[in-house]
Amino acid sequence: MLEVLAPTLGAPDYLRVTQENLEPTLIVAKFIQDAAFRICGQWAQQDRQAAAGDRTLVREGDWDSLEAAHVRANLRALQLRFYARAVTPDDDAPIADLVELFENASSTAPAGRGAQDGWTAVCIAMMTDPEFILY
Amino acid sequence: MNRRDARGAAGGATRRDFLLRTGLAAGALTLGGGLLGRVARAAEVGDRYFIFCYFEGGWDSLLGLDPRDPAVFTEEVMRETGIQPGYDRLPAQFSRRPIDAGPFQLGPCAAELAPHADLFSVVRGINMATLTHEVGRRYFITGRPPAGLTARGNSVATLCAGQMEPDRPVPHLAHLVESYNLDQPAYAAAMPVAAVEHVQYILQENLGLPTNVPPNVRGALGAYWQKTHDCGSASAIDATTLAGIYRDNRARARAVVTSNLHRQFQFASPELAAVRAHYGLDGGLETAYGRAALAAQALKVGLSRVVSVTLANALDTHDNTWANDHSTRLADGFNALARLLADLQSTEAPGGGGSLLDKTTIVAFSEFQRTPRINERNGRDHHLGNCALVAGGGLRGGQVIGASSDSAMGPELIDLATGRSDEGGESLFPEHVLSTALASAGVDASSLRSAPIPALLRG
Repeated sequence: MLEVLAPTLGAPDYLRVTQENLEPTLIVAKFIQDAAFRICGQWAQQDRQAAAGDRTLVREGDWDSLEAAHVRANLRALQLRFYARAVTPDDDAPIADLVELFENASSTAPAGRGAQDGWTAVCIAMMTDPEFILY
Repeated sequence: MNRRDARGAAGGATRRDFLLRTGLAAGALTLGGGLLGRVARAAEVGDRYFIFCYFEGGWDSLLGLDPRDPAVFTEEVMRETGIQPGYDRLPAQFSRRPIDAGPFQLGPCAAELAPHADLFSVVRGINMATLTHEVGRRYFITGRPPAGLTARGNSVATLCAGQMEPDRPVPHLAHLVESYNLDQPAYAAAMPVAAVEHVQYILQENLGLPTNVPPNVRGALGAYWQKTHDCGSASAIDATTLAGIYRDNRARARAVVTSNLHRQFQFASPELAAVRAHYGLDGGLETAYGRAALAAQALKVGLSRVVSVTLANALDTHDNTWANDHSTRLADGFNALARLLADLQSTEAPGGGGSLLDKTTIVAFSEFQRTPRINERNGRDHHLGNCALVAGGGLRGGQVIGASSDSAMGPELIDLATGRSDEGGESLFPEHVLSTALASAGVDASSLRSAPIPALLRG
């Protein structure tokens, strides 16, 4: 499907289009959103089942924990993974919106799915953030 | 009271208001009066639509919008006239004579347009000042001569979209037509599509494939995106212009998905049988007819206000493919355009107040026309002259503006006030055509630095 849609997504054909369009256009934003929606749920599911040392989304502690310190520690780790930004333990500002997002998604999830829905939402939010696209 | 005043009086503030205010705060110092002027004008273009129809490769005006009678322009006088209609070389389905459309004549390939001659006007004798495809194409797309091959200025379609409220999920849709956004809002940039069939997929979440994101996650993300869109974040990247453009497009991408309009572009569905029948889509979607149907549908169902669409490809026929291929492709393009005109005329505008055609401005163009003489390879080469078709609300129909000479079809000088040939007049350039089309719809075309042609404007 993506190969079929490549010309619309901006891939050059080197006949009519010789330059790859690198602007963050509507079609790019739509594509990134589609990719995040498709990947993040699967990523959270697989990460939850992985051995502790092999995890890439929730690297710290108990995967299903909703405890605030655990969530904040993982969000700091994800800031480094997604944006190459080190957030010190005493600095909550860069992760405040994501903490709220995690809590919103996890608190409205069916029983037993709180952490999975929370991390799925965080993953989608971080993948569709300008900082991830433009960095 | 205009729409902007009315909204302010009601105490409502749109996302656009927010963007404009923050844009003013962030950019007014550097952009000065240009931005302020644009903001002040932005809401003045009301309930309007635009379709720009591109005929790619350089069209043969003798076969279309600027014909000559072969009984007058014979082979015997060709040395003097330099004009060779060549109608006798075309496939049998085409007339051997110009088509009488009433107010003017059309070439054999524009026969289906003839019954609609009162709906459109023809501009002849346009001086393109170039024989290069890219230059001519970008000249007509932007209304400004390119610098080398590089476009200068916004595409006119982008200019139109930028001066209207972004009240459609995809304000500007472009099918295989270049677009340029120099200084217009991000929403005015075209969403490019390379095939008609792609539209139905890109309007759906995950291209129509299933996802496993539950509703509570979507709800939480909606609140998060709204908050971060309005407030941004503290990071350096997030404060840049590119991030702002992306964030705005991210919001539009969600609006595209939630509009649920993709079904209106599944042309094979039973619901769109009437569209299929009107445009004749049985031959496939990637045809002139499919593209015309896409343009009409985008306006009718509320997807876009501005559509740029390529109605004919591969018209650059220097050899013996001219007689068969050029004529057939050109005729398909004009036939599709005729069906588009008829469709819009018979459709009530979404906001009421007349037909959709009354609220739509249509410009059909190519990068230049082909030589009036057939070359030794039985094709036609590039010619400096050009012609165009304009139609829609605010524009008079049944008019001919400008002229090409009866000697090698050179562009004649015209009196821009009357649109008639005048030896003491001026050359007619693409910017004259485009500024007239834009002025007819109330779009500020001052960046084109050209006055409109009064004879084409209604009222």
